Amino acid sequence: MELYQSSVLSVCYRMLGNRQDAEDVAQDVFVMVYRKAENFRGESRLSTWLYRIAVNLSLNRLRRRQWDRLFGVLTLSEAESNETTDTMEAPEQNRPDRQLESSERSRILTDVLDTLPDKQRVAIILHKIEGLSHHEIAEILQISVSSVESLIHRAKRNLQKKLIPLLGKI
Amino acid sequence: MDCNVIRNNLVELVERGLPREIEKEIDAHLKSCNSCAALVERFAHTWQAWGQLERIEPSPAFWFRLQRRIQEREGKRAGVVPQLPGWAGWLRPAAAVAILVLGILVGNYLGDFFAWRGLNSSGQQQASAQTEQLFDYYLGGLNDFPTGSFGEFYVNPSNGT
Repeated sequence: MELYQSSVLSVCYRMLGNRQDAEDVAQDVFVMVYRKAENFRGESRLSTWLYRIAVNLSLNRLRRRQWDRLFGVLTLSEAESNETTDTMEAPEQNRPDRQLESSERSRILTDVLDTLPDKQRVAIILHKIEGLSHHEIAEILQISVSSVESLIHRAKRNLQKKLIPLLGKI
Repeated sequence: MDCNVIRNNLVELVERGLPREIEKEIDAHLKSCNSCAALVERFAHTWQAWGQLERIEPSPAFWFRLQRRIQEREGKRAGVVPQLPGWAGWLRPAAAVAILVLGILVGNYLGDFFAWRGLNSSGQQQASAQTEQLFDYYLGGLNDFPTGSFGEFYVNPSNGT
């Protein structure tokens, strides 16, 4: 499992946008894997199965967050994560990887990525960040390869459209 | 070439996904159009930032928390739901079906029982009331005949006729 922890956490982090929620969901992923291990029939690769669970649980968390926002409810976990962001993230600014992340281009790309519709975001994250093939993404999302290609194409179009006005600010 | 062609194909241009002929045309345009050349350069740099996006590592407490959650979960399951062996997996659905069938049978029996009881109690009362009314109607009318009359002659069997 330790082989995949970084990938699972990375996908959750890119989907959810904060470390606290990403770690919570990544833990849910591993608990579910532990619970359902006997159901894994080996028809797909273990990594595909893990990514599928990570994506589904992240999407569920996002939906719950949208639902909470819709009704103006700030959940305890969000409140806590905001607090931890304020208190814990600051020292990390000095880490080399944080400096890299805080470069203007990465920030703009991340901001624009967050505006994409969920499915397009998942597809482009798995493709561009995790480096998965269209076929693997199709297995993870349980859709056809042509649907994945369409999602990625639309995601790129949207990113391009949203990036152009921001490029002048760099 | 129109500058919009460049703007609309930035991703393909950067990822080298355009046909060779169009790429050549675009290269020629970029040499003559400074604004398009600058746009392509900025976009290419930003698009390369995919590789620089941070991959976070789990915090030191991650595995400890995970282990604790799994242990808590196992503890709860062992305490509340007894673990059945694999071959006995069919017991739960079978028990559910048996309870359902039993419920239907009991319901059916109780339904018949109450219907029968309802018919007996209210139906009997209704029938006896109707009989009483009939007797009152036919026999009560005979009370009005005067003594020694034709009626008395027929109704009173003690007169010897």
